[in-house]
Amino acid sequence: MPMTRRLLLLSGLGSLLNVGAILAVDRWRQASSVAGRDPVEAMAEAEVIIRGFQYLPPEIILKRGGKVTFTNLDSTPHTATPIEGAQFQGTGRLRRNESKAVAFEVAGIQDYFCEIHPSMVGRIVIVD
Amino acid sequence: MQTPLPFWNICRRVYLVWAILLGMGFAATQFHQEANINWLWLVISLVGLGYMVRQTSLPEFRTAGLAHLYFVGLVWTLVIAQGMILSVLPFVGRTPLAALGQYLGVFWLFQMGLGHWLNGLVDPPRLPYWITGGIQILAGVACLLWGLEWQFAVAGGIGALAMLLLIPWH
Repeated sequence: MPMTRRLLLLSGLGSLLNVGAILAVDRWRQASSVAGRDPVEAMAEAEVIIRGFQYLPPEIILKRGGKVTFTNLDSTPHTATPIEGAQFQGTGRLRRNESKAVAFEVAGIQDYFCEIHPSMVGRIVIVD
Repeated sequence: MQTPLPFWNICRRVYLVWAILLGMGFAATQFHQEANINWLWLVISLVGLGYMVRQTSLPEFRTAGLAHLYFVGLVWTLVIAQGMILSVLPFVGRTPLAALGQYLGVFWLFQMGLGHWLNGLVDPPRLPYWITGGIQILAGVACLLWGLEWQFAVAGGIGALAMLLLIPWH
């Protein structure tokens, strides 16, 4: 096989392997964070830390009218923005070490994501 | 009488320029993780690849029988172009590739490791490139498991170190 074609093939395969390995580790991390979670009672107030491009904890059960404080500890800015259908005011852009408290007035599942890094998702379950 | 070969030959000059560019680029990315950092990377890629092209068009290059280094240029053009495309795609829409967006420092450590490995294939001796490629891949694995917050700083430090190691080794 000519060297040019060989290099095209090897670089393409290598790049795909690179992406595939990282996505596989990401799925494993997400699966293990869900499996290791303890069941929790509904809280009146809670805190979500954003660190390493993850919302920690990724899911919270909150009483209606409760507040969640989002704090970004990453060097990159993040948001907690409601996904379509969720009913709460998003945080807007949080820079490093910035916090914002958000009130949740509507019962139900409130999913959110980071507008800047859309793969980051979290969930607040609001109960009466 | 043969004149002694200069220490700072074409390859070593290119390694040094890339070490500086990588260190600067990833340090800036660590502390400014915004979309407009991509413009800096476009400039860095053009400067780095442009410097390589400039060096390989010098008479010194042609007379030294280094034509096989054409493939080195091709390797890095392919690896960088594919890497840049894959770095942008996570931010286009909400696709399964979006998850890659949070691992771009690790992705580039692996991509640079791939580049060093392919570079070794076309520019023997291979061992130095395979060692420097391996160092970057190990650093990427370490970041993936333990230090995602510092992935761009690690990519800058280890990427630059890998290039600098090639100066005495290759």
